[in-house]
Amino acid sequence: MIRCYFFDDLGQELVEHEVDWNWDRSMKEQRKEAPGFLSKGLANWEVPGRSGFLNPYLQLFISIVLTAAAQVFLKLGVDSQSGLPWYTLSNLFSFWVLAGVLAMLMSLLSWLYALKSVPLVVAFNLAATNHIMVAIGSWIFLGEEISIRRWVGISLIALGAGFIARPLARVEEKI
Amino acid sequence: MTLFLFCLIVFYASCSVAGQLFFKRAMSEQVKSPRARRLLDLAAGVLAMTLGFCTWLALLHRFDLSFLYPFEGLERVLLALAACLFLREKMTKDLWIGVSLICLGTIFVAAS
Repeated sequence: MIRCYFFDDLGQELVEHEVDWNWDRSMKEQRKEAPGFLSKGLANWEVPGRSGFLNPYLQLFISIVLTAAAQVFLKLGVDSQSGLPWYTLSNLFSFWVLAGVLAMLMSLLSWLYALKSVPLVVAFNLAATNHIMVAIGSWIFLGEEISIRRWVGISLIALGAGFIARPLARVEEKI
Repeated sequence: MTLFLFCLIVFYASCSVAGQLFFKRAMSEQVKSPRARRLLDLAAGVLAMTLGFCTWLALLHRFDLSFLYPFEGLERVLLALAACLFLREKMTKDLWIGVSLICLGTIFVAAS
């Protein structure tokens, strides 16, 4: 069973509802079959806990970390070719660039797996923390100096990405 | 940062958004389009993503990662605006606040 919370028709009271949950089917499919308001985009679904490596929230976290790691790898790869002009194709074949591409692909797989059960709004909100992770990664692993002004900018963007998550999730469902 | 480099960043963001939209259309189960059309969408998505990736590598050559990555936030702004233009989505209060914060943050980063 899966617990699902949603607001009543007047949008005032939080109502709890339980529905059957099948791990082998996507959340989108199961939402469509749910009765009434539950099938609409605004209902908030809580995914039942799945322990271990296959926990969708763990996979979401792995996806976010891998995305940040991929960016650090790409930067390391490009920097290792610093003697060459920026448009050279040999950039694409550096070890770190390939590691970055691999990290991106693995991140995509974890993201798609997580989206089978985590609501898009939640996923987008958590993905907004990427900006902070990339900044921390650049600071620790690339030794970049980040000024206060840049930290303020990065924090504003992460906050903005959080605000934009709900409308974007609606758009994603509509496309 | 010169105007040319800013245009390159916007070009990267546009490629990325276009790639996502093409992939979405190619994979969508709701849209019933012929197989050839789906393959065309997939190819267009791969092309847009590849162009965007090469542009990103070129930009990484020139800038610090902590400077460049925040501009990735512009992708979301472009996607939201594209949705308003082409899908007739309404500009809600959250969307306005989000877009304003991202734009303000981008200005801060660009000036850093």
